[in-house]
Amino acid sequence: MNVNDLNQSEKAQYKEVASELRCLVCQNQSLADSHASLAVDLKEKIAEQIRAGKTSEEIKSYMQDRYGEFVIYKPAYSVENAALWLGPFVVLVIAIFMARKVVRTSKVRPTQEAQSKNADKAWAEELYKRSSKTR
Amino acid sequence: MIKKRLRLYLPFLVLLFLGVFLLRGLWLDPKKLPSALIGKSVPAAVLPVLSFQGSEAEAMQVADVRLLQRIDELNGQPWVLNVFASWCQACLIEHPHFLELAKQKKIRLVGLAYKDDLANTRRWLNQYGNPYDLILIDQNGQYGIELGVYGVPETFLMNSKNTIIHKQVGPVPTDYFQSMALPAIEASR
Repeated sequence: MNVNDLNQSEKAQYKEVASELRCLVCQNQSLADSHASLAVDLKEKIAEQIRAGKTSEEIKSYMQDRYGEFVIYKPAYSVENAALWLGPFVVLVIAIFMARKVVRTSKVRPTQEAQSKNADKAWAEELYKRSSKTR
Repeated sequence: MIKKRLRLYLPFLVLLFLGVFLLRGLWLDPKKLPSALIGKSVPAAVLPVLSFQGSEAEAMQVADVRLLQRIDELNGQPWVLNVFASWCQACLIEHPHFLELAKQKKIRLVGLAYKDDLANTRRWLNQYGNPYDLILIDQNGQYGIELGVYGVPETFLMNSKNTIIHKQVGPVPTDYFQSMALPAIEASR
Protein backbone atom coordinates (compact mmCIF):
# COMPACT_ATOMS: atom_id res chain seq x y z
CA MET A 1 0.00 0.00 0.00
CA ASN A 2 1.53 3.26 -1.16
CA VAL A 3 0.54 6.91 -0.94
CA ASN A 4 -0.14 6.88 -4.68
CA ASP A 5 -2.91 4.32 -4.16
CA LEU A 6 -4.90 6.80 -2.10
CA ASN A 7 -7.57 9.16 -3.36
CA GLN A 8 -7.50 12.97 -2.93
CA SER A 9 -9.04 13.26 0.53
CA GLU A 10 -7.07 10.26 1.80
CA LYS A 11 -3.89 11.85 0.47
CA ALA A 12 -4.61 15.05 2.38
CA GLN A 13 -5.02 13.05 5.61
CA TYR A 14 -1.85 11.09 4.82
CA LYS A 15 0.14 14.31 4.36
CA GLU A 16 -1.16 15.68 7.64
CA VAL A 17 -0.36 12.55 9.67
CA ALA A 18 3.05 11.93 8.08
CA SER A 19 4.16 15.49 8.80
CA GLU A 20 3.02 15.29 12.43
CA LEU A 21 5.11 12.21 13.15
CA ARG A 22 8.84 12.30 13.70
CA CYS A 23 11.22 9.99 11.88
CA LEU A 24 13.11 7.86 14.41
CA VAL A 25 16.13 7.35 12.20
CA CYS A 26 16.70 10.94 11.04
CA GLN A 27 15.43 12.58 14.15
CA ASN A 28 15.17 16.11 12.84
CA GLN A 29 12.85 15.15 10.03
CA SER A 30 9.20 14.29 9.93
CA LEU A 31 8.14 10.99 8.41
CA ALA A 32 6.89 12.96 5.42
CA ASP A 33 10.38 14.38 4.76
CA SER A 34 12.39 11.26 5.50
CA HIS A 35 13.56 8.64 3.05
CA ALA A 36 14.96 6.27 5.68
CA SER A 37 13.79 2.73 5.07
CA LEU A 38 11.95 2.60 8.40
CA ALA A 39 10.20 5.86 7.53
CA VAL A 40 9.12 4.36 4.22
CA ASP A 41 7.73 1.30 6.06
CA LEU A 42 5.88 3.47 8.55
CA LYS A 43 4.43 5.62 5.78
CA GLU A 44 3.11 2.48 4.11
CA LYS A 45 1.53 1.60 7.44
CA ILE A 46 -0.09 5.03 7.56
CA ALA A 47 -1.44 4.62 4.03
CA GLU A 48 -2.83 1.18 4.91
CA GLN A 49 -4.55 2.48 8.01
CA ILE A 50 -6.04 5.47 6.21
CA ARG A 51 -7.43 3.11 3.59
CA ALA A 52 -8.87 1.02 6.46
CA GLY A 53 -10.74 4.12 7.63
CA LYS A 54 -8.74 4.91 10.75
CA THR A 55 -8.79 8.48 12.09
CA SER A 56 -5.58 10.51 12.31
CA GLU A 57 -5.70 10.26 16.10
CA GLU A 58 -5.94 6.46 15.95
CA ILE A 59 -2.94 6.25 13.62
CA LYS A 60 -0.88 8.56 15.83
CA SER A 61 -1.67 6.58 18.96
CA TYR A 62 -0.82 3.38 17.08
CA MET A 63 2.65 4.81 16.45
CA GLN A 64 2.96 6.15 19.97
CA ASP A 65 2.11 2.75 21.47
CA ARG A 66 5.05 1.25 19.63
CA TYR A 67 7.65 3.98 19.47
CA GLY A 68 6.85 6.07 22.52
CA GLU A 69 6.08 9.74 22.78
CA PHE A 70 9.14 10.65 20.76
CA VAL A 71 7.39 10.05 17.46
CA ILE A 72 4.83 12.74 18.16
CA TYR A 73 5.86 16.32 17.56
CA LYS A 74 3.23 17.74 19.87
CA PRO A 75 3.77 16.48 23.42
CA ALA A 76 0.75 14.84 25.05
CA TYR A 77 -1.16 16.50 27.87
CA SER A 78 -0.05 14.18 30.66
CA VAL A 79 1.10 14.37 34.26
CA GLU A 80 4.71 13.77 33.19
CA ASN A 81 4.51 16.73 30.82
CA ALA A 82 2.76 19.05 33.28
CA ALA A 83 5.94 21.09 33.78
CA LEU A 84 6.28 21.46 30.04
CA TRP A 85 2.75 22.73 29.46
CA LEU A 86 2.21 24.66 32.69
CA GLY A 87 5.77 25.89 33.29
CA PRO A 88 5.51 29.00 31.09
CA PHE A 89 2.26 30.04 32.79
CA VAL A 90 3.81 29.57 36.24
CA VAL A 91 6.73 31.76 35.18
CA LEU A 92 4.28 34.31 33.79
CA VAL A 93 2.33 34.44 37.06
CA ILE A 94 5.56 34.88 39.04
CA ALA A 95 6.63 37.62 36.65
CA ILE A 96 3.31 39.47 37.02
CA PHE A 97 3.57 39.12 40.79
CA MET A 98 7.09 40.54 40.82
CA ALA A 99 6.20 43.33 38.41
CA ARG A 100 3.34 44.37 40.67
CA LYS A 101 5.69 44.42 43.63
CA VAL A 102 8.17 46.61 41.77
CA VAL A 103 5.46 49.00 40.66
CA ARG A 104 4.09 49.20 44.19
CA THR A 105 7.43 49.97 45.83
CA SER A 106 8.09 52.70 43.29
CA LYS A 107 4.66 54.17 44.10
CA VAL A 108 5.43 54.07 47.81
CA ARG A 109 8.62 56.01 47.38
CA PRO A 110 7.20 59.55 46.87
CA THR A 111 4.96 59.23 49.94
CA GLN A 112 7.91 58.00 51.96
CA GLU A 113 9.92 60.90 50.69
CA ALA A 114 7.15 63.30 51.66
CA GLN A 115 6.95 61.71 55.10
CA SER A 116 10.63 62.04 55.68
CA LYS A 117 10.51 65.63 54.41
CA ASN A 118 7.70 66.42 56.86
CA ALA A 119 9.64 64.75 59.63
CA ASP A 120 12.73 66.79 58.75
CA LYS A 121 10.68 69.95 58.74
CA ALA A 122 9.16 69.15 62.11
CA TRP A 123 12.54 68.39 63.51
CA ALA A 124 13.99 71.60 62.15
CA GLU A 125 11.11 73.58 63.60
CA GLU A 126 11.62 71.82 66.92
CA LEU A 127 15.27 72.79 66.90
CA TYR A 128 14.41 76.34 65.96
CA LYS A 129 11.89 76.55 68.74
CA ARG A 130 14.39 75.19 71.21
CA SER A 131 17.12 77.54 70.12
CA SER A 132 14.78 80.53 70.23
CA LYS A 133 13.71 79.52 73.78
CA THR A 134 17.26 79.44 75.02
CA ARG A 135 18.02 82.86 73.61
CA MET B 1 17.10 39.26 58.27
CA ILE B 2 16.55 35.77 56.84
CA LYS B 3 14.38 37.26 54.13
CA LYS B 4 17.16 39.61 53.18
CA ARG B 5 19.64 36.72 53.04
CA LEU B 6 17.30 34.71 50.86
CA ARG B 7 16.82 37.59 48.50
CA LEU B 8 20.56 37.90 48.16
CA TYR B 9 21.09 34.23 47.34
CA LEU B 10 17.97 33.67 45.26
CA PRO B 11 19.55 34.53 41.89
CA PHE B 12 22.41 32.15 42.65
CA LEU B 13 20.00 29.38 43.62
CA VAL B 14 18.04 29.87 40.40
CA LEU B 15 21.29 29.83 38.40
CA LEU B 16 22.45 26.68 40.20
CA PHE B 17 19.16 24.92 39.46
CA LEU B 18 19.37 25.93 35.82
CA GLY B 19 23.01 24.83 35.67
CA VAL B 20 22.26 21.37 37.05
CA PHE B 21 19.33 21.04 34.67
CA LEU B 22 21.40 21.96 31.63
CA LEU B 23 24.42 19.94 32.73
CA ARG B 24 22.25 16.82 32.90
CA GLY B 25 21.21 17.50 29.33
CA LEU B 26 24.80 17.13 28.18
CA TRP B 27 24.72 13.43 29.08
CA LEU B 28 21.35 12.65 27.57
CA ASP B 29 21.64 10.73 24.33
CA PRO B 30 18.87 11.72 21.91
CA LYS B 31 19.64 8.63 19.86
CA LYS B 32 18.67 6.35 22.74
CA LEU B 33 14.91 6.30 23.09
CA PRO B 34 13.07 4.64 25.94
CA SER B 35 10.98 1.70 24.81
CA ALA B 36 7.25 2.23 24.86
CA LEU B 37 6.81 -1.50 25.34
CA ILE B 38 8.48 -2.01 28.73
CA GLY B 39 5.98 -3.77 30.98
CA LYS B 40 3.86 -4.92 28.05
CA SER B 41 3.58 -8.39 26.58
CA VAL B 42 5.79 -9.29 23.67
CA PRO B 43 3.68 -8.61 20.53
CA ALA B 44 1.92 -11.72 19.28
CA ALA B 45 2.94 -13.02 15.88
CA VAL B 46 3.56 -16.20 14.01
CA LEU B 47 6.82 -15.90 12.11
CA PRO B 48 8.78 -18.17 9.78
CA VAL B 49 11.83 -19.90 11.23
CA LEU B 50 15.17 -19.85 9.45
CA SER B 51 16.36 -23.30 8.49
CA PHE B 52 19.84 -24.17 7.37
CA GLN B 53 18.80 -27.04 5.12
CA GLY B 54 17.51 -26.85 1.57
CA SER B 55 16.56 -23.79 -0.41
CA GLU B 56 14.65 -20.78 0.92
CA ALA B 57 11.85 -21.55 -1.49
CA GLU B 58 11.00 -24.65 0.50
CA ALA B 59 8.11 -24.45 2.90
CA MET B 60 9.39 -23.10 6.17
CA GLN B 61 8.38 -23.91 9.67
CA VAL B 62 6.67 -21.16 11.60
CA ALA B 63 6.80 -20.31 15.28
CA ASP B 64 4.44 -18.40 17.57
CA VAL B 65 6.52 -15.75 19.34
CA ARG B 66 4.52 -16.09 22.54
CA LEU B 67 5.08 -19.85 22.71
CA LEU B 68 8.84 -19.79 22.16
CA GLN B 69 9.73 -20.16 25.79
CA ARG B 70 7.69 -23.36 26.06
CA ILE B 71 10.27 -25.24 24.03
CA ASP B 72 12.90 -27.58 25.52
CA GLU B 73 14.50 -27.50 28.98
CA LEU B 74 14.24 -23.72 29.32
CA ASN B 75 10.49 -24.05 29.68
CA GLY B 76 8.86 -20.95 31.15
CA GLN B 77 12.14 -19.10 31.66
CA PRO B 78 13.07 -15.53 30.74
CA TRP B 79 14.38 -15.19 27.20
CA VAL B 80 16.17 -12.77 24.92
CA LEU B 81 15.17 -11.58 21.46
CA ASN B 82 18.01 -10.06 19.48
CA VAL B 83 17.18 -8.09 16.33
CA PHE B 84 20.04 -8.51 13.88
CA ALA B 85 20.87 -8.50 10.17
CA SER B 86 23.78 -9.51 7.98
CA TRP B 87 23.97 -5.96 6.61
CA CYS B 88 24.32 -4.51 10.12
CA GLN B 89 27.85 -3.46 11.04
CA ALA B 90 27.19 -2.82 14.72
CA CYS B 91 25.87 -6.38 15.07
CA LEU B 92 29.44 -7.65 14.68
CA ILE B 93 30.41 -5.71 17.80
CA GLU B 94 27.94 -7.53 20.02
CA HIS B 95 28.06 -10.89 18.26
CA PRO B 96 30.96 -12.33 20.32
CA HIS B 97 29.07 -11.49 23.54
CA PHE B 98 26.10 -13.53 22.39
CA LEU B 99 28.35 -16.43 21.36
CA GLU B 100 29.79 -16.35 24.87
CA LEU B 101 26.31 -16.22 26.40
CA ALA B 102 25.19 -19.13 24.25
CA LYS B 103 28.07 -21.24 25.55
CA GLN B 104 26.96 -20.67 29.13
CA LYS B 105 23.41 -21.91 28.37
CA LYS B 106 21.98 -19.50 30.92
CA ILE B 107 19.13 -18.02 28.93
CA ARG B 108 17.22 -18.75 25.76
CA LEU B 109 18.49 -16.61 22.90
CA VAL B 110 16.24 -16.00 19.92
CA GLY B 111 17.36 -14.09 16.84
CA LEU B 112 15.16 -11.96 14.61
CA ALA B 113 16.60 -11.58 11.11
CA TYR B 114 15.39 -8.07 10.28
CA LYS B 115 14.80 -7.05 6.65
CA ASP B 116 17.54 -9.36 5.48
CA ASP B 117 18.14 -11.60 2.52
CA LEU B 118 17.91 -15.17 3.85
CA ALA B 119 20.91 -16.44 1.91
CA ASN B 120 22.93 -13.58 3.40
CA THR B 121 21.65 -14.34 6.89
CA ARG B 122 22.75 -17.95 6.57
CA ARG B 123 26.12 -16.99 5.17
CA TRP B 124 26.65 -14.49 7.95
CA LEU B 125 25.83 -17.04 10.65
CA ASN B 126 28.07 -19.65 9.07
CA GLN B 127 30.90 -17.16 8.92
CA TYR B 128 30.64 -15.61 12.39
CA GLY B 129 28.95 -18.40 14.33
CA ASN B 130 25.36 -18.93 15.41
CA PRO B 131 24.58 -18.15 19.06
CA TYR B 132 20.80 -18.42 18.63
CA ASP B 133 18.58 -21.28 19.80
CA LEU B 134 16.16 -20.24 17.10
CA ILE B 135 16.06 -17.62 14.37
CA LEU B 136 12.82 -15.94 13.32
CA ILE B 137 12.47 -14.12 10.04
CA ASP B 138 11.08 -10.60 9.72
CA GLN B 139 11.47 -10.21 5.99
CA ASN B 140 9.69 -6.88 5.58
CA GLY B 141 10.14 -5.37 9.02
CA GLN B 142 6.49 -5.68 10.01
CA TYR B 143 7.21 -7.41 13.31
CA GLY B 144 9.91 -4.81 13.89
CA ILE B 145 7.22 -2.13 13.78
CA GLU B 146 5.21 -4.06 16.37
CA LEU B 147 8.31 -4.09 18.58
CA GLY B 148 9.09 -0.42 17.98
CA VAL B 149 12.44 -1.28 16.41
CA TYR B 150 14.08 1.78 14.85
CA GLY B 151 17.57 0.48 14.25
CA VAL B 152 19.62 -2.67 14.31
CA PRO B 153 20.80 -4.17 16.61
CA GLU B 154 18.20 -4.01 19.33
CA THR B 155 17.82 -6.53 22.13
CA PHE B 156 14.67 -7.28 24.11
CA LEU B 157 14.53 -9.20 27.37
CA MET B 158 11.33 -11.03 28.28
CA ASN B 159 10.52 -12.50 31.67
CA SER B 160 8.87 -15.89 32.17
CA LYS B 161 5.44 -14.34 31.59
CA ASN B 162 6.50 -12.96 28.19
CA THR B 163 6.51 -9.39 29.49
CA ILE B 164 9.20 -7.13 28.00
CA ILE B 165 11.30 -6.03 30.96
CA HIS B 166 14.37 -4.51 29.30
CA LYS B 167 15.45 -3.18 25.96
CA GLN B 168 18.94 -2.41 24.73
CA VAL B 169 19.28 -0.12 21.73
CA GLY B 170 22.53 -0.69 19.88
CA PRO B 171 25.13 -3.34 20.67
CA VAL B 172 24.88 -5.00 24.08
CA PRO B 173 27.87 -4.56 26.41
CA THR B 174 30.35 -7.35 27.14
CA ASP B 175 28.66 -8.26 30.40
CA TYR B 176 25.09 -7.84 29.14
CA PHE B 177 23.80 -10.85 31.04
CA GLN B 178 25.40 -9.88 34.36
CA SER B 179 24.89 -6.11 34.23
CA MET B 180 21.54 -5.79 32.44
CA ALA B 181 19.62 -9.02 32.05
CA LEU B 182 20.02 -10.45 35.55
CA PRO B 183 19.12 -7.23 37.44
CA ALA B 184 16.06 -6.75 35.21
CA ILE B 185 14.94 -10.35 35.80
CA GLU B 186 15.46 -9.98 39.54
CA ALA B 187 13.53 -6.70 39.60
CA SER B 188 10.57 -8.19 37.75
CA ARG B 189 10.14 -11.09 40.18
